[in-house]
Amino acid sequence: MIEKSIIQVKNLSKRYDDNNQILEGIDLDIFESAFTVIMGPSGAGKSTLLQNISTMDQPTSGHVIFEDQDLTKLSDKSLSRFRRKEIGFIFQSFNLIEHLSVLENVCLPGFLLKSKTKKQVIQRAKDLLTGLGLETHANQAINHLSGGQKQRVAIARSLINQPKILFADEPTGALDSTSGIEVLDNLTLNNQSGQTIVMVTHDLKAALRADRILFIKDGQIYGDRRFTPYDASQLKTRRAEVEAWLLEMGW
Amino acid sequence: MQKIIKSLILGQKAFMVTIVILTFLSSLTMITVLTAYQANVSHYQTAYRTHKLPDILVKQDTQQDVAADLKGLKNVKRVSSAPSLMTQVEGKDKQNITLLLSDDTSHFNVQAPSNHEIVLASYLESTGNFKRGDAIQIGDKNLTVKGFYEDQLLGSPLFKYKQGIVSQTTFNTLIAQKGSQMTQLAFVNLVKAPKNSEKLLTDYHDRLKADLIYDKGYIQKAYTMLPTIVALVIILAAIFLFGICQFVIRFALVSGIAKDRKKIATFKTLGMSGRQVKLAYVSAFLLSNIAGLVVAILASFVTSNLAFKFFWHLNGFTSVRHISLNIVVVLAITLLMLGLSMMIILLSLKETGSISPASVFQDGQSKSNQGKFNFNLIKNPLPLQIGVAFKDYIQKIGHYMTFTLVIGLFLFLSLMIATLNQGFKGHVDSLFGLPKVDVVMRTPDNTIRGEALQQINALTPIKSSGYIQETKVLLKNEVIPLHRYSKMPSEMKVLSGHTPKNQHELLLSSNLIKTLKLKVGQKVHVKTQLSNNTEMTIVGTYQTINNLGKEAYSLVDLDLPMNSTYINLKSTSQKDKLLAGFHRDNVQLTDISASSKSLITTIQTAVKLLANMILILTLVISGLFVYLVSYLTIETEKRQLALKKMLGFTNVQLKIQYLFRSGFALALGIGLSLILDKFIGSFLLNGLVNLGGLTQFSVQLPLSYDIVIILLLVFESSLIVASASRRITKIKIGDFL
Ligand SMILES: Nc1ncnc2c1ncn2[C@@H]1O[C@H](COP(=O)(O)OP(=O)(O)O)[C@@H](O)[C@H]1O
Ligand SMILES: [Mg+2]
Repeated sequence: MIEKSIIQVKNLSKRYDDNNQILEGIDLDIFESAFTVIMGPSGAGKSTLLQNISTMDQPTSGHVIFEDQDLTKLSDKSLSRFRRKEIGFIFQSFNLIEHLSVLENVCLPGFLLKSKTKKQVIQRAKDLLTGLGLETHANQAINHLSGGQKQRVAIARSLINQPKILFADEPTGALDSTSGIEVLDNLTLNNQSGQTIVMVTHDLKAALRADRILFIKDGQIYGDRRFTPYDASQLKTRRAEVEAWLLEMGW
Repeated sequence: MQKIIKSLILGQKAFMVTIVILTFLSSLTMITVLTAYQANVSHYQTAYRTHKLPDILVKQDTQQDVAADLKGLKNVKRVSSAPSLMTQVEGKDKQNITLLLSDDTSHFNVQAPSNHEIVLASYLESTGNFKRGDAIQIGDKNLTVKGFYEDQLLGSPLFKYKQGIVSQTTFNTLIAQKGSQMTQLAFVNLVKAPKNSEKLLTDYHDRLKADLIYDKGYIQKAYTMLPTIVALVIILAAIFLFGICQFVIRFALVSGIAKDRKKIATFKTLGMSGRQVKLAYVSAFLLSNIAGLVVAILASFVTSNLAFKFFWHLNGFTSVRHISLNIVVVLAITLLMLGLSMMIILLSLKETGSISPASVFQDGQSKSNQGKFNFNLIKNPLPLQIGVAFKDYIQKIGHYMTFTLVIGLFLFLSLMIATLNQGFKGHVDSLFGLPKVDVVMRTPDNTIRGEALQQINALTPIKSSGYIQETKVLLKNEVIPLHRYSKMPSEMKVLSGHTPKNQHELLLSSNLIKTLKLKVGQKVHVKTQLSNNTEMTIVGTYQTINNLGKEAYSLVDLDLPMNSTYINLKSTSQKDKLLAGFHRDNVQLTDISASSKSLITTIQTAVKLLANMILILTLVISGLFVYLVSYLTIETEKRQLALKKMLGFTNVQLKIQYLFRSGFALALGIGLSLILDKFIGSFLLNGLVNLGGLTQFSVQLPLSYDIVIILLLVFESSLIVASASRRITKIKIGDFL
């Protein structure tokens, strides 16, 4: 299989105002349709890396190339358009808009993009919610939902515009294990139908879903390892394999 | 703990500053106006007393001394009289001024002038009519203005006579001249003050002949009327400000607590008690209050004096006096301010009690209050931007409602005062129930009247002319000036009934018919100069807002001499040309509006100043509020903003959403003000002018004014929202999500 790179990170460094160098000269290709997981010790800069790749933050130096465009050089307008159209984002703390209903939350990016009619957006949102088992909650308020349900709403929202890449930062971090597995199953399902996913996690169960794991340490990519695509029937052997590698990385 | 409190307080900087400013502004205006107003009244009363001015002033146009007649009356203790001379002199710009000359220096703080000199009422100096050293020609005599004195009797801008004092010799020379108009001023002291000041000297048989009978209360009212109106309007504005200050405190606390929920929760987990948290807030806000108040009290030392000087000038007085702060006023305002604020603070602080660490940290964000009124983004046809803005607006409706109320109330006040200003602009003559008459021509010899009119018409084209008789009638035991015209002046605004069709029909001023408890259509018996009992019919009322002038109109009385003719010119601006250029033996032209002109300009200036002040205040307060609300909502919504950016909203889109949100609030505020203006505006305005001594005020503000002021507000708010929302650009998604 020939891997096609969708995002190229070139010599990316990030340093905060307090002169704390978090990332140093990162070079990285994210491949299309891959399920890439970023791991590493707490505070290593996983979230920072994800945010810098996904235009949520600006790197101090270096480039992020997406379809021949340098994302670090886009105007506010083009950046916004990129965020609307090309990416979806899922967070540990869900980050839904509290005073909007479930359906409104999911539809909002769709309305914003305007590539489909309002009706089409609503239809797609409903389909997504049905796929995630949330069809009966469409008109509920966000704070009436459980954590797992909220995260599934966030998944629906991130997918509404059929983005090229889905970013997730510890999506299971705030969930109990059953809800966590539900969320991961959903992500896997999407990946299997071709969705590119980049996910930060420190949860082994989540890492198992990856076909590639990057290990961040000391501001560098300390390890980069491919795995076969996730197969639920071979969970045991996979678990051993991943765990062994991670231990080797110093996890 | 100290640090914790400090961090709580520093987080509220914007509010503290606002509260300091609002407390300062409202306390300053209240202390200043109340102090100055009170000083104005008491200074006037003191001056009246120290100059031993009388309980009643009688002016009668006659050669004979009226003192003897008055002395015999029931309630009269003492009478002194001074013969006076009514003359017309030319002031600045050839304006005719009616001077009441005498040689009596006993009632005023003035040194007798030499034979070539004249001393004038100070009001004539402050209006710019005369300066020290000016030359005045009276009859054959040339006099130099020696100086000015304060006249607490006839010097009010509301009275039509201005006083002048000359030496005894000069006075005697002047009264000896041919055609001089003698009049008597009688100063009456009563045994005891009458219960009903309307019925003064009812047992005086010559009442009808008296040109005026003023009592002390009436004179004081005339003197203090303008300051009263001005003070009332400013106090109304200050009360608005004061109320708004309380609003802001509540608003600051509620939103501050919402913003600080996490901090408060953290403090609580660290072991800070609910009471300590409360104390931190109470001390912060009360301190702002006190700071504003202290600065206001200090500043009011200066402003009270400025305001007093302004009021004193409105009275027609020029001497500068110094007033000290009124301790009672300062204490009352301080107590009111701190007491109310304390109450509001304690009420608002109830909410901190409900903040438990668990409730806050559960999902890391403030509780949202979805429900009640739900606006659905899915089902409405609004463009997304407006829809989202509206949804967010509803979410923060509490903040925005405060903003709406503040703008609504202030705009309402502004519109009201602008209406007042409009009312005093231009057609003041008719507002005061004075028909417009450019000049009055007196001819003892009726045969030359026609020729004189032709001569005038050749000089300055005449628009209309006719006979006029200035008479008086005794109606229900009150002396009423009755103006008789050969044709009713068209400017009279008839409120009910119709204008007189013959000499036995009466048109009464709207307030006269009220005070005399009469009705349109009623027949009344009056005493006139010719008969002791004449039946007249009240056929209508006309609008006047001046309740100092209780007058009546009718058609000319054929039994009275017709020796006065009113003349209106095609162009009023040619009046001066006529007065300067017309000369004919036995024909006398007078400009009767000259004496009321200064009054009118004084009122106009005062009201215009007020209207502008209130407008500026409205703009400042709304600006402050727009900024506060925008600043706060952005501050508390940073996380949501980051989230929206993540979803792909551009900075410009987000800014526009804030603009829309303020727009909704502003539109509601404007709507509120227009509704208030329509339904209670005239009611309130009339109440206000009533308190000031005027009645019946029905003026409409031109639509263009509303539009201009609204555009101004919209423009200002847009600028401020745009400026406050600049921070949106700086919000980094990574910092919040
Ligand atoms: N806005 C910021 N300013 C300064 N330092 C930051 C900021 N955000 C994160 N950091 C620091 O960067 C380091 C990496 O953070 P992060 O990427 O969140 O780590 P993680 O790998 O646990 O996701 C941490 O030491 C953190 O303290
Ligand atoms: Mg992280």
